[in-house]
Amino acid sequence: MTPRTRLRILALVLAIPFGVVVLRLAQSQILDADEYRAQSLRRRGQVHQVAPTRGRILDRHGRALAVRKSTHDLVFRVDELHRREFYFAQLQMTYARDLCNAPPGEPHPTDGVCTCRTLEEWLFRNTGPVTDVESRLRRNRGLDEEWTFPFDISSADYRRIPSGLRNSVKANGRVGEHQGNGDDVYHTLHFRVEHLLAMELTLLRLARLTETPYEQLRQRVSKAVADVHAGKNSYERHHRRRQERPLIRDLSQDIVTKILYFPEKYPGIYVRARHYRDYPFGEVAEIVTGYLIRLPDVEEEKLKREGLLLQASRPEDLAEYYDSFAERRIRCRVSNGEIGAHGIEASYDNALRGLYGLRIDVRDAMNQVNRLGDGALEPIPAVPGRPVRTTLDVGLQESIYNELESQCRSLGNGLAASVVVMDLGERNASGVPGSILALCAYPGIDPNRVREPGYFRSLTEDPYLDKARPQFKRPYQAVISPGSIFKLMVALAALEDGIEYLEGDRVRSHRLDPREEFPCRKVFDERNPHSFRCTSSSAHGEVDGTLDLRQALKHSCNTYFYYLGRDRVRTRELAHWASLFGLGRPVKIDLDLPVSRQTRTTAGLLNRGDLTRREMLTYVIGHGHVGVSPMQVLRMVAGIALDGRVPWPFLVEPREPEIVTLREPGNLAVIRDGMRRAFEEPGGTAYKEEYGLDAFSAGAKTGTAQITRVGLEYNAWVVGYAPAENPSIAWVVSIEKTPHLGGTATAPITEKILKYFAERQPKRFGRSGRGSTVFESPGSGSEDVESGEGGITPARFREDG
Amino acid sequence: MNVLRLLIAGPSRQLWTVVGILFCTLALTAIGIAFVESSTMDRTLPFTLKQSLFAMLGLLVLVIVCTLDYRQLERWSFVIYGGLLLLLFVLLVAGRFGVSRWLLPGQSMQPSELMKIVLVLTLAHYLRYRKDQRSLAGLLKPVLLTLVPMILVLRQPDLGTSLMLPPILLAMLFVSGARRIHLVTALMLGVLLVPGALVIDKYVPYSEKIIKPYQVKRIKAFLLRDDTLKDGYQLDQSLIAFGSGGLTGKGWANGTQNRLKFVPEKHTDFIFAVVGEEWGFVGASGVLLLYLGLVLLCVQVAIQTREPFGRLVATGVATLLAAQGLQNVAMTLGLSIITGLPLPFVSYGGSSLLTSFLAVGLVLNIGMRRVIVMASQDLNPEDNRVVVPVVDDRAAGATMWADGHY
Repeated sequence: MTPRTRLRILALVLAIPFGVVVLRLAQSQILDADEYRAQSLRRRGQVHQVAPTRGRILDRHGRALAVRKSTHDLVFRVDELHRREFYFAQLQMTYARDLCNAPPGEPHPTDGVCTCRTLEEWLFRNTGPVTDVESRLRRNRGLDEEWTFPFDISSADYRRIPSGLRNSVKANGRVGEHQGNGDDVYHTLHFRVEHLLAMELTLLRLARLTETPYEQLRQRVSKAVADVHAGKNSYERHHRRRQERPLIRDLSQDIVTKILYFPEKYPGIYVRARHYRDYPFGEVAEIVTGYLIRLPDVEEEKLKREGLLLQASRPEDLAEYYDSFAERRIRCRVSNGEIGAHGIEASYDNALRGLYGLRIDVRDAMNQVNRLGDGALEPIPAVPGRPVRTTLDVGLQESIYNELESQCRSLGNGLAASVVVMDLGERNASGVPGSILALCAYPGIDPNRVREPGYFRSLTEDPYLDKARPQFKRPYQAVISPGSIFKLMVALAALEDGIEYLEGDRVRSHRLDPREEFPCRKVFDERNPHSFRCTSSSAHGEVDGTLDLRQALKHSCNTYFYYLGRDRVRTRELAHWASLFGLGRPVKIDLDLPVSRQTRTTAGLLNRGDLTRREMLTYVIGHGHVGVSPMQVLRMVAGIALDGRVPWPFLVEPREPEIVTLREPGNLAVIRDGMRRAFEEPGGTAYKEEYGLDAFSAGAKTGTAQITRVGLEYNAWVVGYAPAENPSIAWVVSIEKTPHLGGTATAPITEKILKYFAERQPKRFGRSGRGSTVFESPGSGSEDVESGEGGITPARFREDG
Repeated sequence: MNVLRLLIAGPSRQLWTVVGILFCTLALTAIGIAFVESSTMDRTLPFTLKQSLFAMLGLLVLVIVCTLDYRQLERWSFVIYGGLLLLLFVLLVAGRFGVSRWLLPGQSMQPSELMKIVLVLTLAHYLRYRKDQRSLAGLLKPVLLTLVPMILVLRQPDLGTSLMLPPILLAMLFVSGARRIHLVTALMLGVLLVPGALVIDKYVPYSEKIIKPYQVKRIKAFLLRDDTLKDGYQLDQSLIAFGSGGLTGKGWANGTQNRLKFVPEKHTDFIFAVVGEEWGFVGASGVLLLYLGLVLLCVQVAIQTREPFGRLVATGVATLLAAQGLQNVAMTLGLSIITGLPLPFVSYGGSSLLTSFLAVGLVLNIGMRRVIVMASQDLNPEDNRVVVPVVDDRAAGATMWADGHY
């Protein structure tokens, strides 16, 4: 083989690997290019979900019940605020073996007996209280004192000090060298006092500025330091040191400005803006608005498993994540880790929540955000939550709530109360009767404070609140004996059905004639003189000592209804009519649960079976086997007022009323007449003179349910509608555990309600009033609601999500 | 100048070879400068400027080497070799006091880079008219000549450079006529050395280890494709850079793996990954083609010359360039273990650039001189005729004289 041949062979041998490399290039750059491209995108792209702004909750005039507000908090980082902590921890571990109590700046006695056990102890033994140091520093700026650490570090040891610690020491002090015995070089660490006590001095400054107790701030930092030391390994401790922790909340603007203006005075302290949900009316409207809670960890885990949560992440396949984000954000149930707990916040969470946006940060290998990117994935903007407009009139709500407060708590007039006012008019926005004007429960929860730790505990610590249970949603969850209010249904059942009996071969019905009169006696049954009695011994002052139905309703005569219970009504028919008017059936109201999943609120109690005679007699006056919620009673009275159309109460989404068909169309008019007399005629249980509403026309019925036999405690009721002809509002007031009878206890609140409307619409609510609605459509009267806001109004609501 | 004369004499095969080599060299250098700029854009130090200055210095070196008679180097090769060995040894001893690969603290020159070329010269000098490499005993000396600097470089530690030396030896032995069976055996033995070294390493302290633990880790990362090891990360990022570049690349200075600092050592050892990302398959293949062209033209010079020393030097340089380029490229593509070896002409680094220019200068020098050998045309060591090389030193063949020192 000649050398030329050998060279040609060599050339071939050298060329072959080039071919292999090109093939490999082709494999990775052409065949696998897509996979690598995806990998490249995944490594540099970090997904950030942009939380949407939560929609407002408005009342019918556009006044805000819940809005977003922002404030400023101070946060701190342990590694920047409390630098000493890091190198003390390190030095303590390795070098601080022989601490002593030498004064600063002097060479420490090697044979001194040390009494300090930690460097911290040693430090404060030498410096004295921080306030002294501070005043000394303030007197002469640039205090040139240096603290020398009481131990020498050999050069070999010094080289072993972690570089982080070494840099930290150099940045905050200096490292001295001195010759030891022989050739050894020893290092000593010197610190300036300002640096050693930087944390304390910063906190003192902050305490003075914000008028917060210094000890409190110091405690927070100590807690954070304890948390840092609880870290399992150095990696975790490092991250905990860098974590931002809250120091002071809710700073005013001028303090924030001062802090931002001199950042060097406050090392490691940062101002952070925070958004929060604010409820301007607080506990007044809490039962309607509800509140937000931070999602419990268990719930969060659950949602995470179901994929209903969006979080900052680095998804495996970024492009796929980006494409599927539109669907993901609709499925997401929680924004900002918060979820509506009650009221509109919970039931209209879907609409209020809005939709998350998406931003993709390009990050480099050091995890720093970099502007460079291919721009292939445009950010998706967040969709803010839609405002929800309720039918509430917050002015009415507020005046009622204030009255309730003064009655229940200040005057001791009752333990707890609930009031609901319903608009019966049809000329409002939705054209459907049943929108709620006021929904009050006293006591309420302050939704602005529920996020404070220990707020709910404080509720149980207050003896009054502990008994009254503000968490309990009285208007639709309470089950209370209705008392005389139930007589309305007894009267209706007697008028409509009566009792069927056999006369010869023919079935005859023994219906009540409204003109039929029964005698009123103090004692109904001589054999039970203490059980079945009437309030009056003289037939309520009526002539002949007898009453017809209208008079019986006016006076709420027990005896009359005992007669009906004994002779004219049976349980089955009574329950039938009561349940047609909503008693004993759940009231579906768009609160407390997402609209799509509305189930039942408390259904109350309504016996439909056979009762003994004695039981029947308590039943007809609304005791014993019947229990109702104020909302059910409101439906009933609204049904009576609207002549058999029983409306569903609603706050946002209207529902068509139920129609009750009567045998005798005039029967409800008889009952209404009885109620009108109770309100308008002297001697009526709800006589209007007591309210100072002479020129007012309405129908009302009071009720007093006795709770205990001995202690005089009642559940006081009043239901009513106004005006008497063509009613446009209906209301119910229920006061629990009051010492007063129904009419007396509820009078001030009824007065408030009626006066509120009388002041605004004197013509309509006067005797000659012919109005059929309380308000015009909300859009026309509102001051501050933009029409293009796309909010949820009763007429336009569509369920979404 | 010779180049001018060649130009005047008209385009010959020789001319084309020389021009081709020059073209490949300059093109690779230009590409190198462009990608050093791309990969150091966000750094404050003037890498590109330094690289350009070194390129100019390299051109100067190239011109100087071309004008000198390369056979002067032949005369001095053993001396340079001895001096450099001494220097390496001194550095090794000094390394215990904190100095390592670089001659001076200011990173001026790495002697191990120079060693590669000096070894080529020395081996060429040793092997040029010899026949005893055909026997097993005759192989001992050239193997020793290679092994001593190899171990010294390995102890620096510089695994990459030391691995470049055996291919040079093998190629030059092959061209100088050694038996194929010997070479194959030697190759096998060389491969077996690695596990042997690992076994020895188990019983010696860290500072005495032949292959350092991090090198073992790299080998493991290569063989096991373990991403948790750091070098697995390097390789991963490099492959992502190549793959995401695709067919035509993301465009110069637009590579995300490059600009977002995912690719490690991107301006030196992994610069080919940046090329692959920003210019894609087309660009990377083009660069490889330039390398292949350079290597084959060097072999062409070896074929064209009839003077044995020059032929062996050209062979050595061709092997050196091919080995170094292939090792670097294969490393970035995960075809080979990761060693700290620059890509000649392209990677940032003064020593590497100057050495590469020096090597190419030698080949150009050989290619531009017409050495007429009176005797066997091919200097076949297998025929026993007496060989008297007569060289026309001025290329035109006016005076003919016998080689003085021979």
